[in-house]
Amino acid sequence: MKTFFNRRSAVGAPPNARRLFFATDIHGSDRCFRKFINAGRFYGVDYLIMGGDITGKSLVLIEQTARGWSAQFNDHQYVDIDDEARIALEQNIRDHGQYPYVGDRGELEALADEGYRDVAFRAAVVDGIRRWVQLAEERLAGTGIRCFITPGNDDYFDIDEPLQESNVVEFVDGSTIRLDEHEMLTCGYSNITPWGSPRELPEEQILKRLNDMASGVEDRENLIVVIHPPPFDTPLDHAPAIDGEFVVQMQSGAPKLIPVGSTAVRDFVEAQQPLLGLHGHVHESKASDYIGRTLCINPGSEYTEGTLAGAIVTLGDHRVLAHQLIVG
Amino acid sequence: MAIEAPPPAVGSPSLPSAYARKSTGLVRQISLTGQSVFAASGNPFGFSLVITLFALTLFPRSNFYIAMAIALVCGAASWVTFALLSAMMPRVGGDYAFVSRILNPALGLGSNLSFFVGSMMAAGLWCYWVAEQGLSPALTVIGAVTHSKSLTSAGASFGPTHQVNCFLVAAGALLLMSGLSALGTRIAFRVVTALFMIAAAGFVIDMLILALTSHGSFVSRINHLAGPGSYTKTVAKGSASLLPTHGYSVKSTIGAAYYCLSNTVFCWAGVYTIAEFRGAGQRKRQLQTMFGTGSGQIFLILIAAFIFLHTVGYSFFISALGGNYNGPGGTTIGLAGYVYFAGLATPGKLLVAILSLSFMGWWLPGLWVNLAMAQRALLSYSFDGLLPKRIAYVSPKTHTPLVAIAIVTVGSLAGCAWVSFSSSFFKVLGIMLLLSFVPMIFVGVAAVAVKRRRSDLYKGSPAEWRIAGVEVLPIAGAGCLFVGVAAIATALYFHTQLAFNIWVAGVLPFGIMAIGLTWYAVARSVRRKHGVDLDLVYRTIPPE
Repeated sequence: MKTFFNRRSAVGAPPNARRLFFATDIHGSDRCFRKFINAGRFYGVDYLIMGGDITGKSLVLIEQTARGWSAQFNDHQYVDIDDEARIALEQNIRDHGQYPYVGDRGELEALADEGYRDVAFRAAVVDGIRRWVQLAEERLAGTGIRCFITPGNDDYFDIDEPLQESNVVEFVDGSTIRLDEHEMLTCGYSNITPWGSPRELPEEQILKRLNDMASGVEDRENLIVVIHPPPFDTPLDHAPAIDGEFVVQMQSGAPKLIPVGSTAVRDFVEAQQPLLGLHGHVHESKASDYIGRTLCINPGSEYTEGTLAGAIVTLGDHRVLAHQLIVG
Repeated sequence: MAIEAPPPAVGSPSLPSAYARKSTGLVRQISLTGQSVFAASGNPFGFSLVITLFALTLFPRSNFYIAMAIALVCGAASWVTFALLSAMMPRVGGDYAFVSRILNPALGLGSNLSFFVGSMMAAGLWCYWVAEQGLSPALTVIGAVTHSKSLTSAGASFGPTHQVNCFLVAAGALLLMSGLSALGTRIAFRVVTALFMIAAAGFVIDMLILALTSHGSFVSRINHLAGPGSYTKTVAKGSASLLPTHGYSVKSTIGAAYYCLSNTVFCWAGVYTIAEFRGAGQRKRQLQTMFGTGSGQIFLILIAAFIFLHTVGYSFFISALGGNYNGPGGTTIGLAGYVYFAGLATPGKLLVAILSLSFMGWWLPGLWVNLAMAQRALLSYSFDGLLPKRIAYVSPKTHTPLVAIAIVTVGSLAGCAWVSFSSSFFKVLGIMLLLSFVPMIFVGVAAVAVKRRRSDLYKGSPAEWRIAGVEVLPIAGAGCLFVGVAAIATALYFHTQLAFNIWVAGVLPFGIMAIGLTWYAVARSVRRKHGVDLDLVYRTIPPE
């Protein structure tokens, strides 16, 4: 059946063109992930690509009281709410990229212990990814839309297994795969950050990793690279500078913006000149720019609102026919 | 009622409401002061005091304090609306983002285009004021207290009758600020912040001097400098129609309220950049920034106006502003009354010179903020595909949008020429302010409609704020809508006092809206041929 959604793919694109939708840095937002999965049909694309940093950063505590459940979230106080309201709150928390953690006073107080908290975080994150994989399988099976997901620097290694187990979602970190006449190389690691997140590497190791993957590519002019950090010192990589206490540095009344991208990624793109570079990592630097012949895109991230920032790219043979940044 | 269990501890010091793990991007927020200073830069209080006090002659027999109180109440509705929508949707683009995402992209463009045109007209005005309200009164005051005819004459040569001089200074100021913008946001910010601080310090010292000068001392000072009996003669010249000797006029007070509102309400324009700051998604922070800046500015103006009018004298000031004052060396007070009279009351010629020159510090920051807003609007349009991508070109060396800066400079130069060679800058000011109210109407409608049209964004968001069980956003939105409509209607009613042609002003907002709608349709058609479906930019992917 030719659906309302499918009609979109006809807009201006040649019949043999391939379209992809790229989003990144949704940081656990349930609503963003549901939109991402639906984006395939909504935009009429052949490929869905998620570029890393897919897991959330916070546990929101919901305390069981004698009269119900209490919590504080998103400028709202929830006091003694019933089960139905709690379930809605849990979904609201997930939609905003955080994980509900439900328990009585004693269970919540136990989170003060760093080791206990780390275990709780990892369990919540893995549980979230398993639910997403299940959702993707339900919605994408039989559609013909391929869905690629790579972790990013903020994602625990614990999530690799549930992603690799899926028969619909393709786990692509550290690999080069063939799409059609295009190949796709993927790297979820970032350069070193002040936070010491799980997947970080020194620049020279990132460059070696990228070069090793590129060595097997047949046609670099038709290569798509999905590399979580953007190339250094481009419109794609400027973020507020912070000090050792993670306080934003102000200069003359405004945040001091500095390039935080990867020099290795820039060197790699300049040397290899792939067709397309898809990046994320720096939420503030939504932009597209050319490095030589390579179109580099960072769609940015607005996951805290449950809004999915992304890019639709129409690919021809050895050229990008069209691209647009969207906020869906 | 007995407590059956300990009260909920979540959110208390003993039990936080949430835990965050170590991950990138979790940084502390920019200070509230930092945000507020930025928002205040678009509405510098020294400028606002000068302009709002002029309501006393534009609307004779108006009650200034009641007018400001009305401005505060009306402003509050818009500040709350913009603060809540910003917390819900912390994006660059301000009203354009709200209206295009909640209502319709073509409407978003149409309403924002009014603000864009208004910003370029405002930039033209601020350039012009560098000469007419900055250089001219500064030199005049210094000339008056130093008895220097050449300085007094130089001051007069940048007055409204010397249009070429004013245009040249204005164009120079525009090119200076555009050049700074092109060199780097950091450099421009440094200059703007320094000038803002200098002007603010001068303003505070001026007010302290006026507060410490008794009315009697001030009268003696005027009589000493301008000739015996000058004070009484000036008061006597003030016609009965100017002075509220027969009570205040309600009609005039409404007119004055519009005028005061239009010169204090637009601190909401800070949403154009505040959304870039971390913590922008917090209701309390947005309310503190927006409401705090707006109401703080009005209170500051009220205090300053009270001090000024108490020392200088209400009747004397109105009469002097009406052209009935003949100062030392044949000087008149111009528009910048508080600078002029504070200068005359200031002991020491050097201090007079410093304070008078510090007043010039208001104009360049105001100019820069308006230029920046217009540049950001172009970037937003370009990002959404409504303009060619080249418009959003950012220099890899300076990291500034050079093409957008160039376009806005040319547009503002046209505005600058219009103001300089117009018979009165009030003509341009009136139309500019009128256009700036248009987005408030659409944002008000968006705030009322958001619950129904974008419940996915609204539900559970910081914007879903209830006081005593009543939702605030729809009420504030209705207020914002009402204020926008009422302000435009009031401006049209008082078009004679505001010095603009009612037909031009009445048709212009609709004309710009029509251009916006046509622009969107054309851009949509052109981009479609390139394989880009513009509608997708604004469409929400259904999550279910």
